[in-house]
Amino acid sequence: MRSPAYVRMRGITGALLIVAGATIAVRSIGVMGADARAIVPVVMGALFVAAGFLRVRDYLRLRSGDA
Amino acid sequence: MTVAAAAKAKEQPTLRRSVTPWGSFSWGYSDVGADIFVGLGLVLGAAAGASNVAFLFAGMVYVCIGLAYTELAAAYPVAGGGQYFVYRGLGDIFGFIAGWAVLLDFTIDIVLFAWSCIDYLSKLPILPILSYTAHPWIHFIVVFVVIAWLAGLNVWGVRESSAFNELVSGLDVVSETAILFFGFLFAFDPALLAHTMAAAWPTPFNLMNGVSLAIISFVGLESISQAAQETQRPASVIPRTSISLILTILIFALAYSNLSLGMHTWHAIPPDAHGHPQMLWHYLGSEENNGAAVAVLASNVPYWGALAALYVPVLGAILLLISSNSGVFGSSRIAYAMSRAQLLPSIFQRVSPSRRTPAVSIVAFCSVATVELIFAALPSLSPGVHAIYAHLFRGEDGITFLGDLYAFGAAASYSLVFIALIALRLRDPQSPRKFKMPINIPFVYKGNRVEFPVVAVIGFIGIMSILVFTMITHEIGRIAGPSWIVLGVIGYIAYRKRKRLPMFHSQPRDWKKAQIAILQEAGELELMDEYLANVKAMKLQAPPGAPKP
Repeated sequence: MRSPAYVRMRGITGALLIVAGATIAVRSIGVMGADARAIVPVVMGALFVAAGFLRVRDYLRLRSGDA
Repeated sequence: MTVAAAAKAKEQPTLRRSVTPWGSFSWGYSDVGADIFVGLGLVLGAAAGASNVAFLFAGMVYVCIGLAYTELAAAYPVAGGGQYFVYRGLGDIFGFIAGWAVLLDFTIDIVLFAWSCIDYLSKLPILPILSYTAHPWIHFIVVFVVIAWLAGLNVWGVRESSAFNELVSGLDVVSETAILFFGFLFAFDPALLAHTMAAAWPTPFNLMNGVSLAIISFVGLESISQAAQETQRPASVIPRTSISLILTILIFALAYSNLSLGMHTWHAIPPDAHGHPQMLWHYLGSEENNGAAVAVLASNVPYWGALAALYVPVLGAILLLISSNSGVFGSSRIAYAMSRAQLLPSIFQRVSPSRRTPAVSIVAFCSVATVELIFAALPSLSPGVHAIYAHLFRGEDGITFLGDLYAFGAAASYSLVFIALIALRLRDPQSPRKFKMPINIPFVYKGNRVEFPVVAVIGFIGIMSILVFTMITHEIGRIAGPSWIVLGVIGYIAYRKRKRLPMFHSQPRDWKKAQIAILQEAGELELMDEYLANVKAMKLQAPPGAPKP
C-alpha cells in the first residue's frame, strides 16, 4: 500500500514532465523549424512526455486502488 | 531425480532471493546511471556539435538491447544474463564467447568506474587534500584499495550490497533530475543548440568515434539480468524495472547532451590553452575536464550550480563507486553461471556456505580487474611504458584504454544476444514470455507457431555498426578486444579437452527439465504450469516422427 504523499508525488511529477517535454519539443520546432537536427531535442521532449504519461497513469491507478 | 541427487542438490548452497523490485532497478541504475558521468565528456570531446546525435543513435540501439534483455531475463530468470541466453539459444561455444566478452566488460567496469570515482573526488573544492590523488602512484594505490574493499563487500553478501546500491541510486536520481530541472528552466536555449550543432558538426570519423563512445553510456542493463536469480518474482519484476530503467537512462543521456550544447553558462567559460574563447561543450570535452564533465556542467547551471559545485563531485564519485560494485557483482555471477554450464572450471561455482555468495569468482575477477588496472596505469607510472603506448596506440591514456575495451566487449556480447533471442523465439516458443519485444511477424516453424522479432534485427544491425565503428576508430580496442576473445577460446578448448567434453559442439541438455526448475526456483509457479501446458499442447499438435519440443 502506497502512502497518499507518494501517490500525489507521482501525479505532480508526471504532470511536470509532460509540461516540460511539450515545452522543449514545441520551442525546439519553433526555433529550428524544419531542420533535420531538430529531431534530437524533439525526441528528448517526447521522451519526457512519455515518462510523464507513465507516471500520471500510475497515479490514476494508485488513486483508484487498482495497484 | 534420485533421492541421493535431490539430497545433494538440497545440501549445495545456492544464491538467495533477496533483491526487491527497487533493488533490481538500483542494480541496473547504479551501473548505467554512472556511465553518463564518464561518457559525457568523452563523447563531447569526440562528436562535438553532434554529441546529442551520437547519444540518440547509441540510445536507440540501447532501447533495442534493453527490450531484448527484458524479454529474455523475464523468460529465463537465472544468473548469467546475456551469457546464459546465448548459451541456451546458440550453444556452448557461443555461450562461452558471449560470457567471456561480458566478463571483460564487467572487469573493465570495476576498474574504469573505480578510476573515475577517484578522479571525481579529486575535483572536490572543499577538501583540497583529495587533489593529491591526482598523483599517478597515489591514484593507482587508492584505486587498488577501492577494488579490494568492494571485493570484500560482495563476499560478505548481496543483501548488504543491495541496500548500499538502493540508497545511493535514489539520491542520484533526485540529484540528476535537479541539475536538469534548473538547467532547462533557466539556461537552455534552443537557438544556441541549433547554432552549436551547425557550427561544430564533426567529421564522419569523429562522429563514428563519438557513437562508439556513447554506447559506453548505456552499458549496464546486464546487471538486471545478473540479479534475476536473486530477484523476488523475477518474471513480473524484471519487465517493470527494465522499462523504467531504459526510459530513465535515455532521458538523462539525451538531456545532458542537449544541455551541454545549448546552455548559457552561469559563469564565463575560461579561454582554452591558446587563449581562444571556447563554448561550454568544448570546455567539457577538453582533456582538463572530460573526466568530470557532469560536475563542471552542474557548476555552470544557474542558481543550483553554487550548491552543485560542492556536492556533484561527491555524488559522481559515489555513483561511480556503486557502478564499480555492480561490476564485481556481475562478473562473479556470470562466472558462477558459466561454471555451472561447464564453460568454466567448477571452482567458479563454489558458493560460500556461510554467506551464500560466490566468493571464489568474486576474488578471481577482482584480481583480473587489478591486472587491467596495472595495464591502464602503467603509462602514467613509467615514462618508458608511456613511450611504448605512444608508439603503438597513438598515445591513448589509461582511461581511453579501458573505454576502448569496454565498448568492444559490450558490442560483441550484445550482437550475440540479438541472434540468441531470434533463435530462442524459433526453438523455444513454449517458454511463457511475460514481456515480448514489439513488432513481431507470426509464422509457422517446424510445425510450431512462432513470432519473428523485427526489433531484434534492427538492434543487431545497430550494435554491429557500433562494433564496426569501435574497430575503425579505436587502436587498442581493435587489438586487445579480439585478443581477449582468442585467448579465452584457447583456454575454453583446453578445459573442455581435459574434461573430455565436446569442444565445438554443445553437450546434450534437457532444457525442458531445466526450464521447469528455473521457474520453480523463481517462485513463478503459474508460468511453470503455463509452460507445461504449452509443451503438452505442442506434443499433441506435432505429427508422428517430428522432433520433440
